[in-house]
Amino acid sequence: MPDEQALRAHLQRHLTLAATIGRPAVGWLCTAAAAMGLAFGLQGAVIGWLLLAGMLPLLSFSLFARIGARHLRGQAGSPLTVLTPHAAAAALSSQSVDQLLSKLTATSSSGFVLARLGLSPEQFPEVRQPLQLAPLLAASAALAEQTGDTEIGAAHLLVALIMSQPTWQTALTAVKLQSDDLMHVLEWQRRSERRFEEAKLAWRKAKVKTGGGLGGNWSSGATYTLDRYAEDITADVAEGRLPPLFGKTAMIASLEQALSKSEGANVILVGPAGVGKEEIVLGLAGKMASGQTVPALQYKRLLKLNVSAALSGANGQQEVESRLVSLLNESTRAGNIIIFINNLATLLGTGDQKGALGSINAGNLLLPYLQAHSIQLIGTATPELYRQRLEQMPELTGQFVTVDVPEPTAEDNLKIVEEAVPAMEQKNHALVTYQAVAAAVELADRYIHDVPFPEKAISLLDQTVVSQTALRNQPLITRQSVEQTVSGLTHVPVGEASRDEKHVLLNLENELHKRIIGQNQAIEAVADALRRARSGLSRGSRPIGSFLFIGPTGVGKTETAKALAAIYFGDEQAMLRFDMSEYQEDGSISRLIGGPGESGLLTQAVRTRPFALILIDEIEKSSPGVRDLFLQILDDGRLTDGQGRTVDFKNTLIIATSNAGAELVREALMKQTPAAELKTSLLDYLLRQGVFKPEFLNRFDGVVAFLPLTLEEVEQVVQLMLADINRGLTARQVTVILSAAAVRYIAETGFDPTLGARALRRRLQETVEDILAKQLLSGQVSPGQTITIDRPDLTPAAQIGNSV
Amino acid sequence: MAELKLRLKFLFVSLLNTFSVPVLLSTLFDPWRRDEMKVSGAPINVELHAVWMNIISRLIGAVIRATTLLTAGLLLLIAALVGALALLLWLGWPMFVLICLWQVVRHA
Repeated sequence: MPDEQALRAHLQRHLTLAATIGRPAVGWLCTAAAAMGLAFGLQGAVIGWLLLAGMLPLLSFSLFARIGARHLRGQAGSPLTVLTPHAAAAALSSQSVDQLLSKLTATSSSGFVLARLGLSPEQFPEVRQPLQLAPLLAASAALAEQTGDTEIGAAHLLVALIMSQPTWQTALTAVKLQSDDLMHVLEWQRRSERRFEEAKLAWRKAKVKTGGGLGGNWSSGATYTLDRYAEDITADVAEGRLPPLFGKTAMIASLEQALSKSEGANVILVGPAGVGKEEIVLGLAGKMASGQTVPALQYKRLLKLNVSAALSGANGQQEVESRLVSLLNESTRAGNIIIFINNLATLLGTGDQKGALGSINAGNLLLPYLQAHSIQLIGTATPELYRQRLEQMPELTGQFVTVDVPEPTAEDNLKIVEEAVPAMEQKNHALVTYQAVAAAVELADRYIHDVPFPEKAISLLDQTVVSQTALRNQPLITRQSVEQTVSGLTHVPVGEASRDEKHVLLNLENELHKRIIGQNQAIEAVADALRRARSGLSRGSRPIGSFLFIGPTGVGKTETAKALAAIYFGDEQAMLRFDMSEYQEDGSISRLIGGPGESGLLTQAVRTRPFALILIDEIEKSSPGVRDLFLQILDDGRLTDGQGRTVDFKNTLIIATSNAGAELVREALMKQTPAAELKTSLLDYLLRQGVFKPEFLNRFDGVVAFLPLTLEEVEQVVQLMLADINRGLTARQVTVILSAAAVRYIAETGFDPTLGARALRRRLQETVEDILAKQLLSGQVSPGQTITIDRPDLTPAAQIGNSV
Repeated sequence: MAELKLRLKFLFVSLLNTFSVPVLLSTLFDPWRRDEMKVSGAPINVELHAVWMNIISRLIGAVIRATTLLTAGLLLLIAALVGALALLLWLGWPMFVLICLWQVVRHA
């Protein structure tokens, strides 16, 4: 480690040098002023000073910089590469850690890092200790090496400084930031600055023009028709900026390689919609426009054919065909055209399925041209359409090199979204933090399943920025902002549980008992599963929870499911109910998962509403094949539908119910068997009778027995049902009260062990609701009154009194 | 010095390609915009007509390309001369200013 004093001396020299180098423009201005001064006859002293200032840059700043850099690199044991003038000035003029932090935050590059982290200098606890430059520069140099820089910038210094202070590390952890996040934001800053700097450097090899100049097209044929119906993307890209192409370089290289074959191969890019297939073609166009592509593609034009525009107004099959043929002929004659058709697969028809051109199969028109190698084509297709259409035409597929375009990696997604951030910020006058970007990628992965990356993350962040700035007037976009958007989209509480939500989760049993009477064990098991899911302890890709509710009818199985949907998913409509009596044959599987060209009821419902409670009623009635389907969902948390799409069940709560063994329960009740014993004998019975296989029962997080209600519990159910009736009467301002005797009467006469609480509702309808209806119609009850029913048999006279 | 040479090379290549010099040279006598007549099995007079038209197409192409190449060469030459002059002026400017200063001091 070099001596601190020596290091500061080197820095000072470097700074002087940098300051000199950084002033050529000032120098030239002074020189010009001196010349003008001469012309106007000003005095020699002034002119002389100006001349001296102007002379300095003429000694070649490039030469100076090089000598300086070599000198600094040559210091034995010095960790220095070279510092940027800002970094050197800040480091040299600071004596304490706090001072350096304050100076660094004033520079744009370190300001970028702090702003992206959503931090301000005030959030860092005061550190008054003296600044040790040597270790700090060593750490900064290591960071510069990691980010691929040859100079230590202010951003490197800042990150190294934060990482070097244990108290600041603790402060960062408090706002859920880790050193990895700092490193990531540093890389983001370096990428942004590098691109900005590169735009200024005119003489980089990548900018050397090797194609596309004046007269480049004179050796190829004219394309009047194609120019009308196709967009010259090589020309477009040459004029504008290319989209970021992280992780796509290899695919662009395969595209170039395939297209530069001597026989002029064609390429089909296969990947989900929105994955960036068109961006790859744009990337190739960019390389072609700048002449940075392989020699075989230089001086070629990449035209994106707008098929619908080309065929608009065409009448009949013959005209459509002739228009397409004329476009292909023109391309053949031109000799330098690569046609790009987005969604090529949609133009192809197979068997009974017609393509976008109706009875015309574009494949048959293209095939002779492709076989003769007279045109070159790039097409795109989704994997489903590739399987359905292209693979059915082996002759056509044989003419294409297939390039698979997978979704970008998580790391690339983050970078791609970061690239999209400046445009969003500029448009909406907002500042997007790194945490918001990371949350957009993470939450899009978890909660958005219909759209692939990176589109879904960009779209989620864009939506967040727009809603936060336009609706809430909140220009700082944080992780919480993105969580709010996701919660709004999915109706699922996302992010850290709020104080109210925590209260609900901790008191979930009480919340459920507001609607469910008894069944303590069942409710406890379900509440535990939900708490695990919300606290982030749920298990990987499996559903949030899966339960098998067994027990006779009318004991609260379905009601528990409804209550859970309402409490956890915020809406009873979030319960997707499937009655298994409709799926008693294996053939009915296709109704659940769909088939070619047809959506499945289960898969489509979960695709549309991925955050839902799935209630599988009377599962014992389903066919073995259907049960195997659910086994896969319980195991893997996903299912492939009939169209080959993966449907994610990770955010679903699965509840299967079964009435099997009701007879046994009834017998046990007659014998007054204890509850615990009843559950064991019920499970034994179900396994012995072969209703469920042990491996099926083991897949559930819990098999919960709903036992018949006791008389006291039935009375509580009566009270709950009465509360329902009273809710319905709110508009009429009438209240019904049942005396204890009346409640007991209804409970005793209305409860049927075979039908459970369902019979109670009927009894209440026959008694309380009928009395009420008559009195309301006869005008005996007016608004504001209370009807008290206290007669055990409920029949003749109900007391009517004034409400309190 | 090596970097200077590299930068000059980039400059030269870029300038050449601004006028598509390599491709214009390699296709100097190609038919203009690939416009050529292709006939086979036609009467001899039609064949001769096609040959004649194709020669004209190639001549048009050659004239236009050659003109462009000459223009490019001339512009490159002018650019090189102007560049060299600008470099000399830039380097000599301080000397000029010093001479002026000397003149001011001498006559003061």
